[in-house]
Amino acid sequence: MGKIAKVIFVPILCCLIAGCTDMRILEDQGMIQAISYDMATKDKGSDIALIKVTAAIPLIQKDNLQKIIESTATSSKDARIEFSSQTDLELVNGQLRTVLFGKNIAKQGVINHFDTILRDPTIGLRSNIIIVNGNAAKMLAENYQEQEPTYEFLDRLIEKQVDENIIPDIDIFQFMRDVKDDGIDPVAPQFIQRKNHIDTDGVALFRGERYVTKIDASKGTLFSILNKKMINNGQLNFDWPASQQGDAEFAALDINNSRRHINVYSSPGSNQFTVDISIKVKGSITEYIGTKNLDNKKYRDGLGEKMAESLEKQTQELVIFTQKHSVDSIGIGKYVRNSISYNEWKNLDWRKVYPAIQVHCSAEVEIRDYGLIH
Amino acid sequence: MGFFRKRYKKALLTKENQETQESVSLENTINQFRECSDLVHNALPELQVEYLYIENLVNEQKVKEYLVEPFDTIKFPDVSLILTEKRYKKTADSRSLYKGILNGEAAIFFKDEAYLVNLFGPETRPVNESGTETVITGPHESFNESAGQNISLLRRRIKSSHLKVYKVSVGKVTLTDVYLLYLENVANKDFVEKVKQRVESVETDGIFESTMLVQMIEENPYSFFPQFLTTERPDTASSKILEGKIVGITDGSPSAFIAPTSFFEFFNSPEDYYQRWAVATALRILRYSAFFITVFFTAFYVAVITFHYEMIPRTLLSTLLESRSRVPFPPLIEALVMEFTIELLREAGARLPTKIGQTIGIVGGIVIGQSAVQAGFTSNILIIAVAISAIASFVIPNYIMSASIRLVRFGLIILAGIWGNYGIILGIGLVLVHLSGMTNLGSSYLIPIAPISTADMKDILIRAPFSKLKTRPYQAQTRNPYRQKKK
Repeated sequence: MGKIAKVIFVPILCCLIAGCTDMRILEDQGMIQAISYDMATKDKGSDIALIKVTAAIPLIQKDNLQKIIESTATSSKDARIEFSSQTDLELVNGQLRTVLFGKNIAKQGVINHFDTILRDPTIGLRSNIIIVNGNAAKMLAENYQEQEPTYEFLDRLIEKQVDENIIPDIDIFQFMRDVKDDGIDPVAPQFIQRKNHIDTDGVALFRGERYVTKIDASKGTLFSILNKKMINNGQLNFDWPASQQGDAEFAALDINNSRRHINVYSSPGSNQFTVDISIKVKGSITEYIGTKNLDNKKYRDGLGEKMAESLEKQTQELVIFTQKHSVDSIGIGKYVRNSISYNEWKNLDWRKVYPAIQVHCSAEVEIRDYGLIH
Repeated sequence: MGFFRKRYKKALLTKENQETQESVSLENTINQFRECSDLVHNALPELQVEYLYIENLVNEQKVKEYLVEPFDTIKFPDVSLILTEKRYKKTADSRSLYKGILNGEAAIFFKDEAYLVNLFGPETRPVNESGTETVITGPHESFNESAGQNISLLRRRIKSSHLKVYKVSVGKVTLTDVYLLYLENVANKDFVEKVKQRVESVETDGIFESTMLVQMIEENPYSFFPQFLTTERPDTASSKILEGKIVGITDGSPSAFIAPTSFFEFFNSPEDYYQRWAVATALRILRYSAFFITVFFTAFYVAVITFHYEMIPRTLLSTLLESRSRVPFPPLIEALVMEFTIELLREAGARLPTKIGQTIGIVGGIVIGQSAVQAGFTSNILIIAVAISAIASFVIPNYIMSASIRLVRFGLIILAGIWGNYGIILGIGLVLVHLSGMTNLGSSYLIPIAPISTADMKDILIRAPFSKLKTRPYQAQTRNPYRQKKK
């Protein structure tokens, strides 16, 4: 190939490789930031369940920071067609950060609505998924903070709560992976709309793709300790009412580091599993109301033991709660699966086995620092 | 004193005239220099001596010392005695006679013979601080337009008989002296031969600058990038000589060129060696970052705003949207207009006298900084991008390299406007292919990255403490690689 031919062909080839990406000039795009799914009220005499989809896109006007577009349709794809006729902007998904599901639609299963989200390559798999206890569209449409649109507020709220381990860090990728995995059931953070703010409602537990129940927000950190191998942040509160053993005490532990180990013991050939969950928490006391002087190592160790005891009890309760609802949200199934052969796991109906297995929780609490009181 | 003072106007010396062989005679010489009003012709009839020199090339003191005084006191028989003194060189060749006169020598005619005595000494600029390569710590001297002065600056720094100064005359008309300086026991002989040969084979009527000469001897004349490092600083030049490289000095030019050079040397400043190693390393990293900012920042802005809205972080989205919403142009045009304006400002500032130059700064600052945004002409984020890339481009110590990089940036901005990030990557790819294909005296331009030389990275990408810098750079291909005692 001659030099001139190269000079001509190389740019032409470059053009071809580039494909046909459309220009997406920033100010012409309606960048959907959050999208919500709810059940719509059914028309009388109609069998088809309608869903209500709303999307929040940023606006540049000073008084109104977000524009909500909504549509009622039979599927999320129909809804999208209706969306685009409501705005002069080109609707794009590349900035999608939060997917909200109303509790009522989550109970029916969420997979169908994920289809578009998963297929569109511009949607990052790190977008959050949350469940709204109530009407998701209504929660998204309302404004809670001045100078800050709701989608942004929500995004920051999730980020902060995840950082403090009050709610699990669940993005689309993790959620879908857990849905497809047979050794774990998915979870999602759940929020609720109060009078003029959004509140954390807890952790929504799913059985497969369907919403089952929730863990209260006060147990969120506890769930994170059980759910994750290690956490580095969070706070645990312990409350002991006055009894014959001693006076009433209250202690708040700021977690520096918490590790969880799961050991599975199984007797071959049978479906009997014993699972040991051991938790090691290192933390600092940030608040203590009680009679004991923590400067004394004896009392300090005593308090640590009391905390561990309480922690064991609470985690045990949490596991039993999931067993009662037959949802393996902690992912014990994955550990069981690793401990046995593939065939054994194939023949096992984990959903049925899980509620019956023995789970034993043990905890250790190490007090690193208890502060100074002058 | 009885002198006849005659001035002859001689025609300009032309190439043809110079090359014809003539016999050495006063008439021929005067004829050769006809219509040159600066030719001084003096006759001493009682001594039968006549002499010629060019007034503007000689030093008055020397004229007095070598011409006036010796012949003033003597009688006719002693003339031949004086002319046997060493400083009077007998010349039988008319061409070297003319060349001598043009180099500031005086031609003395006695009987049928001609003698030359060197009176050269025109006014030169004193050694000043460098205007283009300033440092805060370190020597402030810089080269000036006199090659002799420049060589003296280097000789004073390297007191070694191994320092060779090879002279070549370049330019058929200008006969500019080019001196190649190198350490004989360190520099690679092939490189020395190559440079000598290339400089000698330059065929042109004249050169006035080292940066002009190197464009005639480089291997990739069509490239955007300078291939020989040029410096105005004697400390840089002498450090390169010590590294085993060759330094070229052109008479009449304040810059010296260095061969061979790698791309990364353009990002090093002599001050790196005068600073503590940690500071110097940080400065080098800063300069490489500046390089990337200059090349990519505006292009990246264009790509993101035109194609990749997904990449914008949540916190920046509303600001960007707000500032972009008022702009009537597509991002590519917006960016090109702004970059063009900045280049206008820069060029205007460079050409204007310093006193008016300040006005440019104020006008530019106010017009671009505020009015353009207020009028909705551009977005303020772009102003920041353009301004930061412009500042970053000035961080690069070598002005010629910095100008080349600014030019490459325009290409990338256009590519980014057409194909987005793909275009940027394409552009980098092309530049990288081009850079890695370039050679300098046959050695790679991208040393020490390609071919990789980990030892050199200590002194190119970072600046390791001196105890770690024991070897001369790989690129110099020296026979004598250790610069410190081996332990």
